[in-house]
Amino acid sequence: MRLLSFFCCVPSSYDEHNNSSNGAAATSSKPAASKAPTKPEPYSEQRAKELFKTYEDPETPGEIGPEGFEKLCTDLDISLEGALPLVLAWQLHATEMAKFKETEWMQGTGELRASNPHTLALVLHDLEDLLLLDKPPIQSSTSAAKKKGTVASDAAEPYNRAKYYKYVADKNKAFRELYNFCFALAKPPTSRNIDMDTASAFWSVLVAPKHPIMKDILEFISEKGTYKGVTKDLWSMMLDFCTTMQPDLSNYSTDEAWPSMLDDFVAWKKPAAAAQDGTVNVEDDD
Amino acid sequence: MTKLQTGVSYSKYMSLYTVSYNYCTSSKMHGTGEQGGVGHRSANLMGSDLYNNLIKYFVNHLKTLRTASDALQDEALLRYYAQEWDRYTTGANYINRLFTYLNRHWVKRERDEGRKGVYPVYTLALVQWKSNFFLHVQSKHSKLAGAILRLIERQRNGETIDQGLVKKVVDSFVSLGLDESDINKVSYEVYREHLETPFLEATEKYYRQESKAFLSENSVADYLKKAEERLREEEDRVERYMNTNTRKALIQKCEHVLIREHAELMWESFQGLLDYDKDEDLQRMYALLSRIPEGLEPLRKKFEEHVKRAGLAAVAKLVGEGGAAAEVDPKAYVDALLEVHQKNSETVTRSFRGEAGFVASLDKACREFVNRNAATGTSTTKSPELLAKHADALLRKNNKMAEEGDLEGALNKVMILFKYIDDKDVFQSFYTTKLSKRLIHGVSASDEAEASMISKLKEACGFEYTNKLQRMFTDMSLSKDLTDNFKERMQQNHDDMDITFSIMVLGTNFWPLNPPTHDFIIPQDILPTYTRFSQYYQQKHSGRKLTWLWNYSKNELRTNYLNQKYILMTSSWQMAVLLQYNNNDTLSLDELLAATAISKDILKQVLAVLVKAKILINEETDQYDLNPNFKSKKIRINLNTPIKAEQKAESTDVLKTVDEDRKYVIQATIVRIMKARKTMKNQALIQEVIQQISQRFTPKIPDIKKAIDHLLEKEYIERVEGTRDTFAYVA
Repeated sequence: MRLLSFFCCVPSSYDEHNNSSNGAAATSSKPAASKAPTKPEPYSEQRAKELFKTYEDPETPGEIGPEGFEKLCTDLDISLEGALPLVLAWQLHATEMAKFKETEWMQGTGELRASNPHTLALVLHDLEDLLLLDKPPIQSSTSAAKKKGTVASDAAEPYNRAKYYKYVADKNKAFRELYNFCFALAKPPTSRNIDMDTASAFWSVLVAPKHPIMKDILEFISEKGTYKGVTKDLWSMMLDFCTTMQPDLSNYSTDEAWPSMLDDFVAWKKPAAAAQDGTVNVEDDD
Repeated sequence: MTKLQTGVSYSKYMSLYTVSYNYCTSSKMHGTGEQGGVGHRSANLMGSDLYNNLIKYFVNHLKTLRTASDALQDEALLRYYAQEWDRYTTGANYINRLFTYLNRHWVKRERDEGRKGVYPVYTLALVQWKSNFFLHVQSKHSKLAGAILRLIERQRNGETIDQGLVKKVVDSFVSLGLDESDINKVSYEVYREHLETPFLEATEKYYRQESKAFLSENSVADYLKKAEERLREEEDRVERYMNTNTRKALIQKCEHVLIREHAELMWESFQGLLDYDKDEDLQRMYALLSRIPEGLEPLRKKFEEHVKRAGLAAVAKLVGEGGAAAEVDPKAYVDALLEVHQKNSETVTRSFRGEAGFVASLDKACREFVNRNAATGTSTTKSPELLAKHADALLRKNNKMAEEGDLEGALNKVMILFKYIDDKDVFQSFYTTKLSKRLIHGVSASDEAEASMISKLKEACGFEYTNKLQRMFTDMSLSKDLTDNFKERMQQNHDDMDITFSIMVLGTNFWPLNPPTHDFIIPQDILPTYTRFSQYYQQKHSGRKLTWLWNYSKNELRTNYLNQKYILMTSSWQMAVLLQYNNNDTLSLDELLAATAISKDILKQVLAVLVKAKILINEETDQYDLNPNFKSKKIRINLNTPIKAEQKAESTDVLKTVDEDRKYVIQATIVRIMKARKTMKNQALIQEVIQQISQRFTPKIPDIKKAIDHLLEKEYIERVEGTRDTFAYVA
C-alpha cells in the first residue's frame, strides 16, 4: 500500500523528484525542533508574497504549480508521501491538488501569520501531532490569549494558533474537516467522484495510521481491483466505518446503511479472517 | 304423601287450605311458647309452628325411606330412589299448594328479614330430602352416584341400560341444587359435587385405560375411528341423560384423554397416511386434531415438508431421466410440477376441508419447489423461463390441444404455477419475447386464447404487467390496416407493383426486438417498395423514425431459372444473397459481402444453409455458384431456419434485459418511496422496497443497496446530516 505514489495523479515526470525527498521523510519532525532556537523573522505580508514568488510557476504567474509545490515541501522538510502536504493544502485553502493560487496563499499564510518555511513547517507538525498522531495539545502560553484569541498571542506564539486551538476543542470535528477537504481537493470540477487510486492513497496516509482496519479495506480494494471511483457518500462513510467498527467487525450489522462496497468488504473479510487468523496482521505490521 | 294415586277430594283440599289460612291469620300470639328452631318475635304473622310441624312430617317420611334404602344396591337402589323421588316431589307439590298462604306471607316475611333456613314449602321438602335422605345414601361411599357411574360404565362397555332411570336420578341431583340467596335460581352445586366431578374422573380413567389398551393392539388408523366414535357417544350421553352443562367439561376431558394424550403418536403416523394417500384416515385425523389447540400445527409443518419433498422428487426424477446435461422439456417439467400441486391440493380440500393453514402450507411448499429444484439449480430464472416456454408451446398453432376447452384449462394450469413464481419479471420477459415471435411469424393459435392468457396475467399482476403485451396486439392490428391502406394507395399510383408487400410497424418500447447489428444493402429489387413505404409512412406520421428489422423479415422468392417453378421462403439475408444471382451465376464470398454488407459470420451461416439446401454449390473455397439443376419434391421450400448463434443468444439476452430492468425498477421504486416519505431509515426503506417489488420479483438486498449508492451519487437522495442510516429525498 505504501508503494502507491502519493501524487499519482500528478504527471509522472515529477515522480523522479519524489524519490529524492524520500530520505528526509524519516526524520521529518527533527529539523523543526532543532531550528527552533534561531529566531525566525516575524510575519509580514511582504515576506509571505516573497515566499510565494520563490515557488511560483514561471509559466503561469499567480500560481504555484506541482513543481513549486514539491520544492516547497522539500524546503519545509515534509514528505510528499505523507499526510502533511494535504494538511498544508488544507491550511492554505488550496482548491486543486499540488497547486496554490496567490490569493489562497496570501489568505492562508495571513490567517496563520506564517511567512517563512520554518514557521509553516511548525504549523504542519503541530497539526500532525494533534490530528494524526494524537499527541496531547500544546497549551497556549497565556491563558488570556487562549480565550481572546488573536492579537495578544502574537508576541508569545511563533504563529497565530487561533485555528489550532479551535481544532483542539474538537479534534474529531477538525479531523473530519481535513478529511472532507481532501475529497473536495481531489475531485475534478466536472466529476462527482474521485478516482480510487487517489482515494486509496489518501486513506493510507490519513486513516490507516489511526485505524488499522483501513489497511484491510485497502487490501480488499486492491485485491478486487474493480472499484474505480469513490463517491462522496462512500468517502464520508468510510471514516465513520473506520472509527466505529471493531477490529473484528463484531459490531457490524447489515441493517446499517453502509455503502455496498463496505458490505462487500465485510463479506470478504469475515471468511478471510476465519481462514488465516492472525497472519494478515503480521504482514501489515512490517 | 303416601296415597298420591287416590288424590284428595276438592272439599278436603279446600278445608285443608282454609285451616292453614285460618291458622296463619289468627293474630293472637299463641303458640310462641313452644318455638322450635324457627321461632320469631318480630312478626305478628303466624306460621312458625306450622312450618316446624311440616319439617317434622318430612323428616319422618324420609326416615322410613332411608331405612328401606339401606339394603339396596346399584340398579335396585336407583329404581327405589327414582320411584320415591317421583312420589315425594309430586306430594311435595300438593303440600306446597295447600300451604300457599304460608308461603306467601309468613315464609316471605321471614325471608325478607334475611333469615336463613326458611324456604317455601316445596323447596323445604327438597332441602329435607337432600339432608335426610340424599346425603345419607351418598355418605355411604357415594352409593347413589356410584350406582349411576357403574351403569354408565356398563353402557360404555356396550351393554344396554335403562337410560330413563339414569336421567330421572340425574335430574334429581340437579333439582337438589339450591341457591340460598335466590331460590328461583337453579344451582348445580349438588349435581356438580356429587355427580359431575366423579363422572368426569371416571370418564378420564376409563378412556385413558381404554385408549392405551386399544393402541397397544391396533393401528393408529383404527384408533382414529375408535376415538371419533367415542366422542360421538359422549356427545350423545350428555344429550340423553346428563345435564347439558356437563357437555363442555366432558368433551374437553374426552378430547384431552383421547386426542391430546395421543397427539404425538398421531403426528408421527401422519406421514405414513400421507405416503399411502389414506384420505379417510387423514380426514379423521384432521377432524380429531382440529379439536385440540395447536393440534394441527405439526401436521401443517409435516404436510409442507411432504409437498416440498414430493415436488423436488418429481423434478429430480425428470432431470434424472433426461440426464444431467440435457435440457428439461418445458412441458414435462410443468406437468411434473402441476401433478404434485394438484394431488396435494386435492388432499387439502378433501382431507383437510380446505383449511387456511393447510392451504398456506401447500402454497409455501409449492413456492419452494417451483422456484428451486433439481432442474433450476441455483438459478431463480429457470422456472419462469420453462413456464413461459410451455405457455408459448400451448399458444402456438401446432399444439396438440385440439379443443378450446383443453387449451383454456392448460392455460389455467400455467397460471397455477405462475402464482408461485418468484421472478415474475423473468416470466414476463420470456413471455413477451415468445409472444413477439408468435405474432411476427403468425403462428399464434388463436387471438382468443392469447387474449384470455393476457387477461389472466393482468388479473394476477395488474395492468402494468400486461401493458406491453396488449400494446403488441394493438400494433398488430394497426399494422394490418396500414398494409391494406398502403396497398390501396399503391394500386392507385403505381401499377408496377409486382411485389406483394406487408408491413408491421411495432413500437420500439413495447417489442423486445433488436435491429440488425450490421449494415445491409437493400437489394435493388425491393428498394422501390422500401422507398415508397418509407415516404408513405413519413407522410402519415411525420417525425416518427422507422427502423427496419431485416433480421425479423421473411420473403418468398419464385424461381424462374428452373423448369419447375419453386417458391423459396427465405430470410432477408438469404433473399439478398439469392437476388445477387439474378445477374451472376458465380459469386465469391467477398463479392457477396460487398453486395449485401451482411457481416461475414452471419453471411457464412446464411450461405451454409443455402448450400445445404443445394440451391447454391460451394465447390471451391469461398466460391458460390447457383445450382442450375436444383430439384426438390416440394414446391414451397422453407429455407428460413433460425441460425444457431441467434437462437442461443436469445435466453442470455432476455436475462440481461431482465437484470437491467431490475436495476431501474429498484431505483425507480426507491425514488418513488422517498418522494412520498421524504426521509426514511435505511432498514425501513429496504423493507418497503422489497414489499413493493416482491409482486414482480424478489429483489436482493445488495442490489437495493447498490441502487441506494447510485442514487446517493446522483443526488436523488442524501444522508441526513449527523445520521448514518437515514436518507432524505432531494427535490
